[in-house]
Amino acid sequence: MAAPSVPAIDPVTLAVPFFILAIVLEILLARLGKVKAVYEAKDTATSLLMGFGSGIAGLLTGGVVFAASVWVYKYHLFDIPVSAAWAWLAIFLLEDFTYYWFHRLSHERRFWWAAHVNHHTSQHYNLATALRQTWTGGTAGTWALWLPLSLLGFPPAMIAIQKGISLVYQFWIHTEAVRRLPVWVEVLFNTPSHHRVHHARNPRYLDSNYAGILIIWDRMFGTFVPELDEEPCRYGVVKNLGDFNIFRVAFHEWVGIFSDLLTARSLREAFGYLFGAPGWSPDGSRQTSTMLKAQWADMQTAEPVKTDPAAAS
Amino acid sequence: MRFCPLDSMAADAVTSALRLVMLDAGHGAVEGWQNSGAASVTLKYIITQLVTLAIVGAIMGLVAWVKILRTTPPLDEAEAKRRLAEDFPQTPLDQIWLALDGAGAVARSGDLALLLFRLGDSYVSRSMAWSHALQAEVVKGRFWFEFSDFAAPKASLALAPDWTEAAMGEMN
Repeated sequence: MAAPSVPAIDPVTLAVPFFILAIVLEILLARLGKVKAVYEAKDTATSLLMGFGSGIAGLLTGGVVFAASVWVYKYHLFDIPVSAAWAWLAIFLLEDFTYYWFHRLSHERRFWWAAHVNHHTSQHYNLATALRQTWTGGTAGTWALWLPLSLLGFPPAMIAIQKGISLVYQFWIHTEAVRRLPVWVEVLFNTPSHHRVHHARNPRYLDSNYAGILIIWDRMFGTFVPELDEEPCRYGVVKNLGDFNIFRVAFHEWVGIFSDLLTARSLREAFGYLFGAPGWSPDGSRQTSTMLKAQWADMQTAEPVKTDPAAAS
Repeated sequence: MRFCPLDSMAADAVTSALRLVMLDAGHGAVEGWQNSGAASVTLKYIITQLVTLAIVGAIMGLVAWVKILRTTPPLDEAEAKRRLAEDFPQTPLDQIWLALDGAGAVARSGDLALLLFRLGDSYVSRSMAWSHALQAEVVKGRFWFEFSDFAAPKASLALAPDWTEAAMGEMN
């Protein structure tokens, strides 16, 4: 059965002028001292060029991804009407739910972390950081997580539009310019505050707030961590990159995996290096997020230390 | 694929330029090429990419001009220790040496060297064997430390010229 007609709308393409204007506005307002935002030229260049490269990389795999969803859709279980409001509400919730698990997988298993880590490599958190997108996400295959939606009966174009809406939503939350929003918004939605925590490398904040649009999934599955004023976010990854080389940003974790696989002495070790938590090692000599959080928790128990917000950068 | 009005304007500009370059006064070469679907899509794609790169360049220029950087004054010992403690918790420091320009530090913790070096307006840290750190090559007054880490292959610090001797003395 052919997919029902869905208007050819690409929310991301439509939003590009808004992205540019918003970045320029954030920079200018920060310059005028009206909002909090920190931009470093090379870091910004890296973020924007990663976004540029991501578009090109997406072309290489986009066709395969769309073809796969169309193929799966041939076997769909239900006829879901594109014109029904309930169908859009359903795709909104199901896509966001899928995004949560995609994002969680992308942080908690090294193979997919390798494709996603580049988004977290900036030590800054501003609207340009939002554009520091993956070059290898298509190759890593996480797009397959959305195929069940096609199988259920959502037309592939409908899924693509909702994915685009989610991506556009997630752009504006990459900012320090917005502190907190009204309580009901913070309770229901992913906000700049929640997403700052997600980008932080403080042990307290690691592996949290995976939400796309709705923060309810993190609250439901125990990964929600609120931003605390007494512990400002320090952005980046646990071991920050040594330069701004975009190829290093895009591929460093893949190179790390490859190097580790060369030293693997058994299938178990190879599996651990590929699909273990980032930081996993056979002898435990490296640290995973869980280990870092446990170490931090031990330190808090042993000697509670108050962080001085003014001293953090 | 959709294009923003800016892209359409740029596409028209390129088409006009092609007409001029190819002296296409009614022969239809440009139109023929333009009418072939693939060429049109390719042209629009290339133009989109060029416009995007131009915007990237403009934003980079704006960022460089407005200077809204993080404040990174030269490191003092307390600040270097604080930053190292963030990245290497529960790692006692035996001794610390600051870079002369305040853009980094080396600390010793038993058999480990802990390095802190500036990147833009931020800092990056790494550890390496202390004995390996002592073999850092000196080029134009800077000590070059090489890590076996593709994510941060090397770092250079402007340590005191006699740092190696001082550090070895500390070791003995």
